[in-house]
Amino acid sequence: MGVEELRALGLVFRREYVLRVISLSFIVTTLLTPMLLLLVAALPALLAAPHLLAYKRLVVACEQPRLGAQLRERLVKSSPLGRHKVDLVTDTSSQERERLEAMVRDSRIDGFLWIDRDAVASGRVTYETRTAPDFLEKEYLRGALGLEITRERLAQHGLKAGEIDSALGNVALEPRALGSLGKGVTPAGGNDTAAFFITLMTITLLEMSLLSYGIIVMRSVLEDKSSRVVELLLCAATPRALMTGKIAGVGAVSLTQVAIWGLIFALAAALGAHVTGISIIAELHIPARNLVLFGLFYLLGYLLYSSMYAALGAAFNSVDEAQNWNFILTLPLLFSGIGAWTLIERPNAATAVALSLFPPSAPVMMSMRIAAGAASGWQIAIALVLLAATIYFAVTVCSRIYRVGILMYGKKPSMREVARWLRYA
Amino acid sequence: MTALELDNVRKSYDSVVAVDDLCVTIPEGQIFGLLGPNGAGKTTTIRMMVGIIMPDTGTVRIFGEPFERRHLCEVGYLPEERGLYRKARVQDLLLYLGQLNGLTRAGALRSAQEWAERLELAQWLGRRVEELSKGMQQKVQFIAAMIHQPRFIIMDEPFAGLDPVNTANLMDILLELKRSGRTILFSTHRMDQVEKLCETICLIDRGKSVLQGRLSDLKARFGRRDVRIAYEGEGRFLADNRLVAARTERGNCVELRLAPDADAQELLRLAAANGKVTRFELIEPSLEEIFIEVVGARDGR
Repeated sequence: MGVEELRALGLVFRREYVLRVISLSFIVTTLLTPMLLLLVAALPALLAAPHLLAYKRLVVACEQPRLGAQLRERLVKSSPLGRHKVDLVTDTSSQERERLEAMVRDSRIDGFLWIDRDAVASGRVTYETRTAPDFLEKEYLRGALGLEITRERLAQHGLKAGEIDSALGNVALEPRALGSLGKGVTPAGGNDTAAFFITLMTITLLEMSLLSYGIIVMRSVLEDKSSRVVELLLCAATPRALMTGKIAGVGAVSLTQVAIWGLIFALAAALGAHVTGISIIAELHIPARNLVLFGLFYLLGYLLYSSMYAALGAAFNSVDEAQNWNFILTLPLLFSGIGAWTLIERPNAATAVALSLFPPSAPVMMSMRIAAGAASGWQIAIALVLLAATIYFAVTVCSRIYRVGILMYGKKPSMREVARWLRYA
Repeated sequence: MTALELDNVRKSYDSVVAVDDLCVTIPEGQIFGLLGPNGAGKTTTIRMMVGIIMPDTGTVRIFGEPFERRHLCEVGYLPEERGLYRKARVQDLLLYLGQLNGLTRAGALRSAQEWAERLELAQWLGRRVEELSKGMQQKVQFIAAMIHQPRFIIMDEPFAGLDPVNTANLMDILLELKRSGRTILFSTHRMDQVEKLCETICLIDRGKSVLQGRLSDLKARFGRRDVRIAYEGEGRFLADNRLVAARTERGNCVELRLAPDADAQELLRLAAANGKVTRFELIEPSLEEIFIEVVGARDGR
């Protein structure tokens, strides 16, 4: 590519980039999409907020002081958002029970746990409350009771506190695959499940962005063609500079959008960490290598799809005419989207591996398998090589279709005609 | 020096030969007419001149050198299929096209403003293209072709869709550009415009050049030796079949076809001797008549 051609490419790139980045639709989609996503994610919580955020007063009635004190401490410590206030009474007479029942009825307390003498042996504890407790509340109480009563049972068997702690210590599962497909894969640390699901959602979002920016390239080429400005442009710039400048310009717009989304996510996470004290980013623990690979697959996917969309825009006269082909182009991504959810259970199933190596679906499927920690180094390498080779082939074929198609006005071309164009160029 | 030369240029699409071993020479500093019926290969020829498509065989020479893309910054092109980005502001669009044609941003801005002044478009530079009338959009397209002050200007059907006032204005501008030393290639099937503007023409039909040369020479070659005469007096000389092959009365004048080997000057002397001659005119064939004769003869073959 000569200096003049590069200069023309730069001008086309700048026009495409500036035009789109300052457009209202870009600003709206860039800001609105994450907000909508956040809203969808947060809506149930927001609806439940008044209930979830209300303080609760509980009473633990337990005549064994050690168990009562430990249970009270556990309930306070594990209280969601620290909103439970827990009192302890050691009197378990029937008068005391009546008094507590009256307090519940008068709404002076929200409920009480009645732990009688047999509770440790029988494992039965009653929870008296005005209305039936919800799922979260039950889980919270069951968790604390289960742990403390087990501890008490172990103590009654003569174990010391330290022994009990080590007996009840957490168990970490570290999967290591030895089969040929998953060999050498080291799973991500941290909160695996949350990280995987968030990555999955992000990749789905990127997949949508891949598709929508491909379509933007197509529309942009169609605009050049249908507004008849293209012949004026072709006298001043080569088809290669026009097509490459357009693809690069629109690609830069998509990267800008992804970067802004990343920034919004980071800001939201930082804000969340400030308010709740829980850092999502630290919890997710996504390895930097994966982030680089996601970026690489996204870029390659964009190059593949945008060059095909550019050819589509050049070959036809309107979006309607290109409709059927447009649908065919979205199929691999559609399959990836569907395939991704089956991948959660069996990331190394033959179909998942094949789809992650097949270039049109590789950008999404391989990213997802990487997120699941199921893709080995050689699979990633093969996917990258296949994808790069396909891009080279697609760009060569598509730029030929572009060169000829862009000047063909009027009737919708048949497949045979498009195939013939490849020989003209 | 020649501005552009096509030497045995050929372009075919499968079995269809769009341009068939075409040779055209466009002298510098002239307005050159490229004529032909629809589908004759005019647009394909022009696209090969500006490197949008490449000939299968033959060579294109521009300013005496084999064609290279770098020459295009001295070529202005107004295509037949032309349009503008509807949503773009006029000035932004002109700056973009000017820069694509090799100008700096400042240079493009200066040139856009000068042309806009000249074409009474200056107050529209900040508007969007879609807000402009069709005539004004055509002026913008014209500026887009001229913004980089090209030496060689190619215009494919430049007057299509223009009203008579704007047509006259554009003709004036083209003549002025010619006077300033520019070469203009003007492609059309409107013969009247070619007759008004062009000195040299090339008529192509089915991809081949069928007639090429100076317009005056071609007219002389195709002249049918017709005379229009108005006189007062005795008209017996009109019956002399050594001089007159046919005659048609047209109100206050008569149109004559001279007999083979007859001399128009002798006819004039005879007319003057027999009465008072108020009009004596050798009628040239119109370009349209030549066009129909040449293309029609090929069709009839």
